Amino acid sequence: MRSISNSSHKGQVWTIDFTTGLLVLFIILIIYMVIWNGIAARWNSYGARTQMESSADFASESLLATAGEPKSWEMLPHIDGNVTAIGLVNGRNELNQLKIEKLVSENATAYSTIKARLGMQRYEFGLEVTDLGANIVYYRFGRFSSGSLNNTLEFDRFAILNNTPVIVHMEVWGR
Amino acid sequence: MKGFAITLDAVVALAFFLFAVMIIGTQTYPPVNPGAIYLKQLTLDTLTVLEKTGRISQALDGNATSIQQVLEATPKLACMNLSIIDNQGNALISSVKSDCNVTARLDIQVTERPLLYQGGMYVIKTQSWFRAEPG
Repeated sequence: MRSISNSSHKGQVWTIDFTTGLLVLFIILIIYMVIWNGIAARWNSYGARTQMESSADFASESLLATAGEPKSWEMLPHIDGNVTAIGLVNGRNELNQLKIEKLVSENATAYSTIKARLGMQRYEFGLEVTDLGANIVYYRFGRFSSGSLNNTLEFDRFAILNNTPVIVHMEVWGR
Repeated sequence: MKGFAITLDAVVALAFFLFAVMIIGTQTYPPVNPGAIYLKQLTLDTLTVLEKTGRISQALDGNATSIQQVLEATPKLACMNLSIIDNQGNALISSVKSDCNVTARLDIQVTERPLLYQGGMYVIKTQSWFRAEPG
């Protein structure tokens, strides 16, 4: 009689042990999943940011280091399929006024085409040419986020306009 | 004895778990400076603009303020130090952006470009780095 009672208790202990073990295992799995999701989200965000930076680098380099393709694209009536690359300079960093004026004048009609030629279809893009103190805006093209988004990449580069150093301020941002 | 074995088993398992959590938890962003390419572009822009607008020549003629003006116009996050060195290795001109004196433990990019001016050979040397975060 005594041995039956002991055996019954032993079985109950093993069941409690198993249930507790299973519970702990689930808790561990949940903690792993939460941590892993956090890391994955951070890496995705980092990857997206890096991709945006690369696109912005290539675009700014195309604008400030090349004349575009064809070289006299600013003479064409519109920026369309005939323009395969956009560049704003004669020599490195030497802005061509006619090219900037053409770019600005096509803002309303060819914004998407220009973005595509700069390799930034996935982003919005804004460009401003200002004096060194950023007080006078000479030219303004594209769309600006107005600082309302946190996925905005803003950067300045130097160029020459009429033999004077100017700042080319660029803003790349995601929708 | 059995209880001791189970406790030891649990402790070992918990140690493995904590170790794994610690390893995963420390996997943050790779320690790269995302703006390194940009800083290089900015430095090359600065050199090109200074050279092509004749500000380097002006500095060699004794007016270095025009160089300082361009250095001060670089974005707030960037710091730059520009020197013009003669063929003897003497620094004739050295301009540093203001509030950019802290360089300890920072990655510094160095760029050098030769310059021929009035028959003399010079080297324009720039050092650029990201401004140290406060605190």
